[in-house]
Amino acid sequence: MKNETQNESPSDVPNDQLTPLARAFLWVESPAKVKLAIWVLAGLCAVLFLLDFIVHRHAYAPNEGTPGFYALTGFLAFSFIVLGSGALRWFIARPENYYSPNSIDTEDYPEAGLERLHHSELNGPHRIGDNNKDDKRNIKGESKSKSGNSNSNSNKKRKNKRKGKKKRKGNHNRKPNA
Amino acid sequence: MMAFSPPFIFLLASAILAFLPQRLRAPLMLVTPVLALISIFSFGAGEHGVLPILSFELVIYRIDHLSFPFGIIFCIAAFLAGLYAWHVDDLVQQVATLGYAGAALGGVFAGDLITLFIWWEATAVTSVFLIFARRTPGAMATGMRYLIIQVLSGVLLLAGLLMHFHDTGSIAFEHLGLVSTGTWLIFLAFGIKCAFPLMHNWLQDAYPAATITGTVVLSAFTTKMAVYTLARGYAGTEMLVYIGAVMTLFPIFFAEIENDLRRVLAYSLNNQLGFMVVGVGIGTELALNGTVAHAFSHILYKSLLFMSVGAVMYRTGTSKASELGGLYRTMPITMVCCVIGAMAISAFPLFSGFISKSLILDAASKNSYYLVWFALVVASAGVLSHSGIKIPFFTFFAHDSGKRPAEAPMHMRIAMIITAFLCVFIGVFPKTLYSILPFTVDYEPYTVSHVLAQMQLLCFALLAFVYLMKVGLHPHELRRVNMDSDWVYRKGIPSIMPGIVSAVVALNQWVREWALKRLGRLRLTVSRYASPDGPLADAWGVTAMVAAVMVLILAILIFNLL
Repeated sequence: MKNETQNESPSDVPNDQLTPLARAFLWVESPAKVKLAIWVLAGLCAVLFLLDFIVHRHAYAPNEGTPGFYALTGFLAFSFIVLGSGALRWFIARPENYYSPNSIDTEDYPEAGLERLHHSELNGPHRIGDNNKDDKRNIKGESKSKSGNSNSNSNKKRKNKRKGKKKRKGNHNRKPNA
Repeated sequence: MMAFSPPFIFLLASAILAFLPQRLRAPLMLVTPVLALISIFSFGAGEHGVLPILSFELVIYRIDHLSFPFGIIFCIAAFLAGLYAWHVDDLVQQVATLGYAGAALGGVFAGDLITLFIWWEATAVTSVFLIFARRTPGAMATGMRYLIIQVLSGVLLLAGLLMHFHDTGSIAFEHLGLVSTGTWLIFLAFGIKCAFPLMHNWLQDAYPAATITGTVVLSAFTTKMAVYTLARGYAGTEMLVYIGAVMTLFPIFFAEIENDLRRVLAYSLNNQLGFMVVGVGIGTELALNGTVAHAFSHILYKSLLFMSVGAVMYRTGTSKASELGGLYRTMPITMVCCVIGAMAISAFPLFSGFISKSLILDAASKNSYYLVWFALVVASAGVLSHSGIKIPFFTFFAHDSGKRPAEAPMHMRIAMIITAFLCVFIGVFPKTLYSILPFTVDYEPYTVSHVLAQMQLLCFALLAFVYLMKVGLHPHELRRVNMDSDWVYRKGIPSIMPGIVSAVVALNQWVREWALKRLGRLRLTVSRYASPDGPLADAWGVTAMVAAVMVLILAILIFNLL
């Protein structure tokens, strides 16, 4: 079973419908802020490297005390591992159905063990077949709340929370499997 | 007395489960580990539950400095997994979970080898149902492979224990050492369950094949029980240091290129087991403290990582990195918990991995295992690459997959948040963990040099990641399956089996034909002489008969005279 109903453009969940926690991470989508974060990381690395000359590190292993030991090891080890694994992949990678039918790689997870809720449906009523487009009231940006257009989302969430709790057991046909 | 030991509490609960409706089963899964914890604390240290059977004295319930922390963390893990699996209505999985947790506790509290063997096999038999519960053909096949390997481990344990008993007359589960064939077999048995190199693939094969909640349960018990048994029986065996060092290194490469995130976590599990095995091999008090501490914090952050990837799978139907990405918008709590787990496994200061891994590294360098120590440092950078970065980044950030799944359900969120809290709490207050370790801890993890060294290692590794991504050298997520040593019994042997079978059949055929031909020729020869018209069947004349009788009598007379 494919995920055909859940592939939409990023504009489908506008930022004001995200929780505050998610909104705190929106900066990852702005290239300028990401660049800033990388510069912060680089600066941090520079500071840590320079601290090696100021702070005396107790070292037990040979050469562990040399300044920049951990910095160099971290950078080189990481690069070696990532590049080495890329090379390894050239040798050992095979198509997904290589071990089929005796492996789970090409199988879909049984639907009965999943609860594929769309983001907008978390607090709303659950019904069988509720991956229909009709149920995604919040997505297209139109506010279809009955109470009017002002801060419809939070009202709807509050209203649906009460309804949602009762309807949660409504999915009778769900097979007992997870 | 024995009935109140944790394994029997769990077994009793699993027996009751069948008679309860779902709304009572889920709470029972939470109550049982709590009862087991109460049992552990109320019984206290000592050998309880001694059972004389036949000529043996079985020690069912031994709590001491080594088994105590393992018992605690197993109960905590069972509780968290039960909370995570609150929604599961599948009786098979619930019984299997309780049975498996109980069996693992039984193994950890076993005071003799026979009890250990019984619980050893019980863990295999109960855990396989968490894989079968997925109910797909691939899962069935994978479960069978898992079961065969686990039972093989049990059979080796049985053979070893019988030989050991024959050599020493004792079945006590104390320090064994590699002294005889029996103890070597037991060592191999422990090694299979601990995922030693070349015997490790059942881990990466089976754990992703279990159900979503099943994998969280599976990851906590078998391998750590094996670590405990190694620590009990083979502490200080130098070979383990090198086995462990190899175990920390090679899974990193495989984890980096794996697409299925739960298999990445399984390779990561293998890598972390390597640290614990190195600690067991070094065998000093500091090293064993490190092993136990690392097992404790590892169960927590590995469960957390499996929980968060499982939650993503629960909402999207897939755990493949190539299919995921951009989920932080709609699953922020899961993302934060995953990041906390990732930081814990990478051993960032203030997280649980930092205070436990450093014990092992310190023990390695203090005991002059400098090459091994360096391998562990390299492995620590490697862990950042696949668990610290790949898991959270390619699941929740990276390219946008277009999926907008809802946040994980409430019970999963609570389970993840509690586990994340524990990961941070132990990191910030290491004394809480250090107080239950087997030996007194004379170690202070938060020293300037240590924090500085670790931060340098991690930040420069992060810098390398950023650099490789920018330059385009970081491998992309591809829908691929990677061959590992399990190729031998999954593809290698099965592909030559038809040839071998037909060769054997042909040989059998040929031998039979040859034999029948020889027999046929023999028959011809015999019939030439003995058939109705052959010479031997001729009637003898009377004269000839009389002559023959005379010769015979003469011969007898002569023999008697001689």
